[in-house]
Amino acid sequence: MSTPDDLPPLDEDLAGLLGELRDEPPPREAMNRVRMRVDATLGLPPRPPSGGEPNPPPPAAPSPASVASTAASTGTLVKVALVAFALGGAAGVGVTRWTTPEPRIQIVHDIVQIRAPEADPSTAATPLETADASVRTDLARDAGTALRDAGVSRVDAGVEVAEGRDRVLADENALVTRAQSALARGRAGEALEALAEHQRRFPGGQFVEEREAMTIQALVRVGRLDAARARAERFRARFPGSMLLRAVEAAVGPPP
Amino acid sequence: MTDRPDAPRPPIEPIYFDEVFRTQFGYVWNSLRRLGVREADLEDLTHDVFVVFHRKQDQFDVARPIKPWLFGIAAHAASDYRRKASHRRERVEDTMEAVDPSPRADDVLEDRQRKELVTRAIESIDDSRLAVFLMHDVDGLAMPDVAEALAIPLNTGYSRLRLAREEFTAAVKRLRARHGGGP
Repeated sequence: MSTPDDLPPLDEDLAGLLGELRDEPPPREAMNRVRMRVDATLGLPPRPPSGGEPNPPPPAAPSPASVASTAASTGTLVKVALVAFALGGAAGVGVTRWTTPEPRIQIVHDIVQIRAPEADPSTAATPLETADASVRTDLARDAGTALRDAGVSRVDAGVEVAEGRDRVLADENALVTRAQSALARGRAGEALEALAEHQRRFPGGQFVEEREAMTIQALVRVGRLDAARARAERFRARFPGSMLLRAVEAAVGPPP
Repeated sequence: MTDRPDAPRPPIEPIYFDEVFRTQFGYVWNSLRRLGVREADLEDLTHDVFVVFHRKQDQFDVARPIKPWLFGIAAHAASDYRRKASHRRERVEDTMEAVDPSPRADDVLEDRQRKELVTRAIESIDDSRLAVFLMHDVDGLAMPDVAEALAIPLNTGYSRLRLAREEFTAAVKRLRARHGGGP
């Protein structure tokens, strides 16, 4: 076991070599592209790109005819408005595309608009974050179809790959959020369902720690104390420094 | 569609996330690069780090420095990434091809060779120790912060650092010997 006292300093020559790892500025547009993807994955509303003008608000849902008309009459730097579809038979949401030097990410960004919470009164009472992952995925897919049907080309391998990999994380995030929301509303059984699905689909996912902590809390609430304690034991061993340990112990009590 | 043109969009996000994204984007980007993520994959992994950060931000103690926390997330993401054999193979092949063992007088080429030497030496450090090494010896973070970010005991942090330095030192010697002593 090392301590600060028996740790010799790094050789000066080697320390100098590590200077080669100095920071390099990211490519100019990378920050905006990543931000749009993050917003899309999290289902957040669009926000102004760094250092640029804010995005205009999405238009009221245009009719398919107006979409075609707009698309036919626009040139560069003109927005192409699309729409889309009814959600739960009640509403549709507009999708807007502005031509930019980085159209491949702009399209992904636009898909976020489709997930906007005001689209459907039946979902208005439910936080955006709790929208079912599969529904969100379907909406994104529908948006892509709508764009293609309207003659807006998005056949780009990079787009598909980025959407696909981001969607995986978005789905995982949505499941954990669904479980969290159910727990907060006292629906432990519903939370356990979401968490079991998470375990099945993302056994080694990004939010395993959160899943395990919530599972323990939910098990306690449905009265399965032995299962909760056994799981808590494994949690302590696997995540000894976890920030969620306090919540776990609040649920099952301190270790014996 | 509900027709509510004047309805303000409710704030969903705390400003905090925006601020972290704006101020720490470069740090996350460079941390991932040091952790062995290829240039072509940096946007993907940076995206993942911020999505995970968003999910976990409630757990963050605002009294603590943000960088170790973000680095911990980046290290986890990069570790998953490296586990994919194809990435590792391509990365190693790329660097092996790039290293030119012949002596060069040109400063630019020498700089490049030094950078590639460091990159390859870093690759030889075990995954479980790499994050500690980079956080402590490259980013200059204090070991208590490193240990907390990685959720490991303090002494484990020091042990990993010692072993990582040994691995790094041995790799540099080996690579230099193979290429005639330079750069």
